[in-house]
Amino acid sequence: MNIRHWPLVPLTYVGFLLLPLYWLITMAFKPEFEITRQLTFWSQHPTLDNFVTVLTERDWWMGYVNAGIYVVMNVVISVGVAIPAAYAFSRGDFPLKKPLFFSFLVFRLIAPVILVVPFTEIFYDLGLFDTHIAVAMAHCYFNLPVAVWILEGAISAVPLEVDQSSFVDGHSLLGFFRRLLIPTIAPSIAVTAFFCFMFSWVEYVLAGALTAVNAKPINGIISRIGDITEGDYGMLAAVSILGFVPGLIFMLMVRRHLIQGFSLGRVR
Amino acid sequence: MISRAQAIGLLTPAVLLLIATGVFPLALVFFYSTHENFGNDFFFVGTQWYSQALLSSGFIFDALRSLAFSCLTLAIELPLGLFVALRLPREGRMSSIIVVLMVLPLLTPNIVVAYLFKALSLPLVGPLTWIASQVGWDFNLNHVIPAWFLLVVMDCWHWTSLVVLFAHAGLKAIPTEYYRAAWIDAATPWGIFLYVQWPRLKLMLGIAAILRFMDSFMIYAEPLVTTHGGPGTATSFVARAFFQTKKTQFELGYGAAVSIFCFMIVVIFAAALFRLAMHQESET
Repeated sequence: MNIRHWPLVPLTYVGFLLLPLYWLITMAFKPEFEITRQLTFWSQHPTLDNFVTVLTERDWWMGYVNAGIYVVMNVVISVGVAIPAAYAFSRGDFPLKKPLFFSFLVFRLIAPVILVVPFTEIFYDLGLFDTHIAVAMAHCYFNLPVAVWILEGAISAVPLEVDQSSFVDGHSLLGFFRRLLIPTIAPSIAVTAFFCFMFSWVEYVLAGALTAVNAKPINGIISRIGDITEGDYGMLAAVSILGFVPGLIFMLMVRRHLIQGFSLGRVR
Repeated sequence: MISRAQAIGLLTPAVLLLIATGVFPLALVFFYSTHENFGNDFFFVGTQWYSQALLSSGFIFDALRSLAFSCLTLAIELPLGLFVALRLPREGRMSSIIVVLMVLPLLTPNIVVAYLFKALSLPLVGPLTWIASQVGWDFNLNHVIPAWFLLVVMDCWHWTSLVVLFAHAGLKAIPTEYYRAAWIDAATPWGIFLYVQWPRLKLMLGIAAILRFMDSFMIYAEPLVTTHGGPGTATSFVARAFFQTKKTQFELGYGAAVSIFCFMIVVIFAAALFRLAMHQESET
């Protein structure tokens, strides 16, 4: 490829993004004194201690497991409930359709900090405090609107004839969903799942407040050790780098659809 | 088309879920904001907490600072994101590598970003402090400008990619025939941007702007970790004040009233931004 055809602006931009990430990586391999007492551009005393601690001590690695559990629960609930709703918004005709669609989206505008107290009260009263399902449910209010919005766009891009011919062939609504609709919009479902995954994985205010021990996610642990030790940077860096892994794997799986999936039909 | 009954049946689970996890908690916040509590006993106090919030200079200045911060970050992220998206190839290996790398900051939790930038700006040993000192800038977070600079750069680093992603998706949705037609008409790059690309971009940009406004207005972890709201109250934003009140004085009602105000401000701005994006749509 000729250098003159290289997308220099985006490459410069990505370079700007990678510099802090480079620092995050070097910190993970540095002992604490090297981070807070010296300025070294790569580790002079490389160590794997931070990673070893995270991966061998149960308190640490369970944080990933806990986060993984409630994130998966949330993605399943959000996407599962959003598919029929998105279909109704796309194909249905009922009073107050538009206002209802927009009032769904309005919930995405509530900042998690606002709902910390009521959610804590609710889940305490239900006896669900410090459980995975509590966090998974709490994250629904911001992921469900996103899921409905993306999927409504995807379904609207499917020609109406697909539905009609399927019903003429004698498919029930459920059969049509299973055999035709879901396979057709699979790329968009993958992208929706990715976005729900991302929003739920990085949310830490509610996740931290609704858990204590049994369901404490990794981000909750980070904010807690941050409070106590005023930042053990090497540890934090190692924890964060390992925290990228699930997201990266998910993203590589859906990368082909990432752009197309959520623009399908939406931008008309 | 499906029947009305079918549509309502398909919608029911989603509506119920949203009532349980959205409407009900929000209604509780509203309840707290109109009551005073002693333990679990609640007494109706009307608009007392609201007027207290409006009369306290703390809340007003925090809100103004949050608003300034949101507008400043939007003013950088939207043009920068759009510019990068316009230069990003439509497809190909290079394009997908860039997109994958670009999403990395989006996968980073706020709290991690906050500590990362704190490490970058440590006195003497932070690389950002070092670079600044090389050009003769005393990058000290106890001064207002470095403190704001750090928070703005942090937000741009974290979230500009969201704008790029949305704009890129909008651009990819434009059929190549449009460009061919523009090329036959000998349109200038500016003309192509104005009449081919912009009409399809503004809705996507509007949505990105709404999402960004909401998050940056309620910014919390980043100033808490890096600047502690300082120097003085220079980087104290609404969400922080709201948390503090709740933690230290247990004034549930006051915190709830502030939350309701914040939510209203965000909704008003979102509606205005959305109207702006849709309004231009009808013009062209």
